[in-house]
Amino acid sequence: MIKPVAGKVGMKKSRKIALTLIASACLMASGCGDDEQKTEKQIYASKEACEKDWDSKDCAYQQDDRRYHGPHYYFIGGRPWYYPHGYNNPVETRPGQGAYNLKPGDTSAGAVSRISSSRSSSSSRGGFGSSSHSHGVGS
Amino acid sequence: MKRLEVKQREGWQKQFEELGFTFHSMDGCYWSEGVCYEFSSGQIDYLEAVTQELYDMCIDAADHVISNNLFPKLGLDEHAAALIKESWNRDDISIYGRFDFSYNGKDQPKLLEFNADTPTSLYESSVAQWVWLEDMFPEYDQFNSIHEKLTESFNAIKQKMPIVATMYFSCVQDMEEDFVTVEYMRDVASQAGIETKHIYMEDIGYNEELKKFTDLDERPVDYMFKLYPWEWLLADEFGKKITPDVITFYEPAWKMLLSNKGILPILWELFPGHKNLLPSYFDSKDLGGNYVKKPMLSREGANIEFRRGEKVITTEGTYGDGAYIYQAISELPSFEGRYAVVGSWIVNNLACGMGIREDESFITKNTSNFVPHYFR
Repeated sequence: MIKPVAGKVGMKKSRKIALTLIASACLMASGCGDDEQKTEKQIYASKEACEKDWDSKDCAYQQDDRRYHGPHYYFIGGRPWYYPHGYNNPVETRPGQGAYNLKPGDTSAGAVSRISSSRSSSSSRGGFGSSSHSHGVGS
Repeated sequence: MKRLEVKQREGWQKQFEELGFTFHSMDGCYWSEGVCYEFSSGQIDYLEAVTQELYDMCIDAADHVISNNLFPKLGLDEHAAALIKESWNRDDISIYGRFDFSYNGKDQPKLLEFNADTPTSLYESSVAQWVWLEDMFPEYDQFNSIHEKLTESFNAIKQKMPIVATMYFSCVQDMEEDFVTVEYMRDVASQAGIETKHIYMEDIGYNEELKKFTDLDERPVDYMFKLYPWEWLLADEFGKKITPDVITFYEPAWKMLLSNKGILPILWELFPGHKNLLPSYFDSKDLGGNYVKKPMLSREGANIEFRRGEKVITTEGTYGDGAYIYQAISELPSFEGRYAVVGSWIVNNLACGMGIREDESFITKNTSNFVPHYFR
């Protein structure tokens, strides 16, 4: 931990506080600011087809449908990104990797189908928040 | 330091509501319109210097706990210790915290506690009282650059985030005050250029296949500002799934050390006799029969025992099962029969503002009133 540098902090008389979100009509509304964004992955008939689009480590054989599944990717700003190097290094998929040229409804050349995950499809929920039932949050 | 009666602004409730400060009258009366505190410039300079010095001491104390593996002393298990060490070693940015002082304007400010993880009264300190000042005393000044320092904090965080990442802002459902605070933080982060989304704590998902926390659209939640205490995060069902490589939280895990009241005896041990510290211990024997007994993990004045000889006053609460610390008594100053606590803010590692809470009792609680201030 780098120790902070102490310094004189001046007060200002000319401050203008600009707020854009907090005074908006979405206060207390559920789903405030949500975008409709999905997680998708491609399904391939063969390992080779999957590896043509993705790194080999991202292609996993799934016993239940006997197909190869590519990694999940996410749409941010309408463009597909995935996480081959860990959570803090998202990578926009590149040419040669199937997702790059995908448009809604498309699958990549070698893929036989695509799975879109949407609201509450595969995550378990409700695992946070229970401690608040008997306490106040603030301090 | 004086408590003054001043005129009430016409339409102040509507003005605050338009600014998003919708809980100005929670529990009947929260914002105290018509009264304020006046300080001298010298008093403010001193409070600022003391706040900064104490924060630096807290950083030393956190380092001491980590270096000497004192986690069990604070009731922290191996999982918590691992998260703390990782966040400390990678210099995860702390956004904010609030020191509570007993201060009467003449004697040394005495540190009562450091609200380092989920400090409340942020919006009213940063925005509401500034608006009040501009309406009431535009010729005077206020110890308040909280908003600017928050912006600087989020600017620094943005530099550590990937370009395409989203920061989620979370609190529990049905808590209006928390929601407004979180939306305020989200507002500031957005202005710093960070893509933001709100999600309630209860709605956060965990995807076993991805080994990731997810939002309601199954997008990974990699960065999160949470108005939810660390000890609750770790106690909840999903707590065991928190690892440093899965998600980055703000406040960071190392703030667990400073929000724990066990840091008070550690500060006293490291800086014995410091003018702004109260003698504090893990047991009561060195304090005789006069002390304040506080749970190591408690909030909003709950489960406090105030003991002066045979006279004992306690507050109710739900934190009474864990470990305690014992602190020497420092009487809160009383102004017109109201006991005042000075909340002094640290944002982006710098002392930058102040808010005053007052109560008819000498134990400040979540129902205590917020009173604006100015200095001249």
